[in-house]
Amino acid sequence: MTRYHNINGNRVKFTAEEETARDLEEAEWKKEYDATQYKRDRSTQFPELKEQLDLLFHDMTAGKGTKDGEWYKVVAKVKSDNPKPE
Amino acid sequence: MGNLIIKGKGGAGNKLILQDQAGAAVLTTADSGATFSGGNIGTVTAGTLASGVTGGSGLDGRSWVKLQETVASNDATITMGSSSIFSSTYDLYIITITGLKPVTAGTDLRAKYYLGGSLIGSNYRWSNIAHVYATELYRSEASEAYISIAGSINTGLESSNDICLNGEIYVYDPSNTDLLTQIKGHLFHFNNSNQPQLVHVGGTNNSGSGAGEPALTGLQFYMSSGNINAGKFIVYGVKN
Repeated sequence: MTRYHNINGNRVKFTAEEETARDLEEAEWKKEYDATQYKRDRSTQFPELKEQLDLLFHDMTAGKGTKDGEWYKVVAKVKSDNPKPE
Repeated sequence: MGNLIIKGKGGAGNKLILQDQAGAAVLTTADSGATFSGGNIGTVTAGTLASGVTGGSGLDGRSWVKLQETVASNDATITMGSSSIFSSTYDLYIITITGLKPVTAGTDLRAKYYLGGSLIGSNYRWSNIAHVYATELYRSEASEAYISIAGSINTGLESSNDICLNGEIYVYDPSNTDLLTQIKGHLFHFNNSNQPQLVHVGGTNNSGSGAGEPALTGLQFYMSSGNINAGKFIVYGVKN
């Protein structure tokens, strides 16, 4: 599909060189976007920072400074549910 | 009753003067037109200033002057400003962006400079922070091909086409050729995970050497992929 600039209200057709450059830029963006999808997915599932700190507090109070703690389990589950691509 | 007309006696320099009770002139006609004076003009409570009204000292520093408006309609790029719009007339220009929707949800809004009339595709330095649920997304670049204005812009929240991006971009002293022109933006939108996202961004281009930097003559906006489906861009000059 032909692209157009809107320059101060005037529509100007992309040159062939501009089309090629834009195709490359869009492909680069898509590659980066797909590679970082796991981060966006994780960000919606991690508890808020204050909730994570509260989990850590209760883990420490209960003497659970290891992988048995609730904070570790919650964070580990989000990571395993949304793995980083190889 | 028809019009009641009161006018000064014919002949140059003859004025019609309305005075307040203290004898101070409130309205004084000239040979053509009239001048308001005194404090009474400050009590105007309604009305509309015509577009031709210019700001005297009383408006300086307090008014935005609309210079340009462009409405996007499935455009690959939107260019705002020109060498005549970004001039030494104003030290500060503000570009408002309202109702922006990308064709492709989840794409980023980017910007490039026109310096001395040429579109620049390298040497951008910028910092971008987005406040999002449970986190803050930072990104800072020292040598990029563009400035990332806002990332992952969504178009549908409760229905398929009910959200957009709104915000403003400040352009500081674009005609100054001794300093690298900086822009700063504050914008709000929803990201592709349907989270509200408040964005602060600032950046510049250092293709020049600082002193002798070509003047900023325009800004090009575009999406990281696909076209800009809709949105209104307006350039205002802020009175010095």
